[in-house]
Amino acid sequence: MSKEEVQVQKKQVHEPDVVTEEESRTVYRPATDILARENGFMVTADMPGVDRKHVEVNVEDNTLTIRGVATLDEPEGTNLIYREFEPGVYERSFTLPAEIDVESIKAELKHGVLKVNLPRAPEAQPRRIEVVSQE
Amino acid sequence: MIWRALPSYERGYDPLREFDRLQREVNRLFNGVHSQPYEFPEVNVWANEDEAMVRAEVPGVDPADLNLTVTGKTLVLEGKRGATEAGDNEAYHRQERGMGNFVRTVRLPFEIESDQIEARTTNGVLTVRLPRKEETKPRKISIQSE
Repeated sequence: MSKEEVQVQKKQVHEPDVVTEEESRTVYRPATDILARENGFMVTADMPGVDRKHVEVNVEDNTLTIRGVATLDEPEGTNLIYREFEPGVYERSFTLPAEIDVESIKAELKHGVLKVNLPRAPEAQPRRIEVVSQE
Repeated sequence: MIWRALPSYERGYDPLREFDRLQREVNRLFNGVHSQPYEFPEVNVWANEDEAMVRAEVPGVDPADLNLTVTGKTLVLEGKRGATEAGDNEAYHRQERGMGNFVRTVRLPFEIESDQIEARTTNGVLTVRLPRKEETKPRKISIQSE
């Protein structure tokens, strides 16, 4: 089964391979919030330093994989006094419940935060059943 | 006397030092559990003779919510990360991202020319360039010789 590419910000990620070229860097699990809503889920992950060209959101079988490569050049001609973070690769996978409508998954990236909206398939949404009185 | 009683190959072994080491290991274990692993945001600091540069990871922070102040050799970074409260019929399955107000102080190696500071955010990373105060720059002194 082929990997299903998910559109990010309505723009197709043309070169998925650009995300894998930085294999020698540290891979981090991004801090993620998962919000369960009535009509689906919202996954929010911190990926500072990642821009739209270097982020990838994939769904294969029931697994959602998010991946981003931070691209910020380290300054040159100066000395490091101290370092607390190192730009790297962010990657994390989640197993999706069966009722997600994969075709309608939407993702957006803003201020280094990736938000993936996973709507429930319409049939799975709670339906209000009208009770008709027989009298 | 106890020391002499130990077989020769064990004489280098200092039981008190072992206790010390054990104490340190236990401390490290407890520290990892209780405290915040790091301050938010994490920063990297670089400097050369002419300027300092501070970079901070601030994903999800609107630049309008960020405040930078420089006093003497100290840079104070404060701001807030928007909290998304779960509404009705919503619940967090997992919440790992911190939200709320933050303050971070960064010590710089020299005094800064306050009106020449440049700060910019790109993809959730803040980069601040702080030029050194002119009077504090090292002066080259020429040596006269006869």
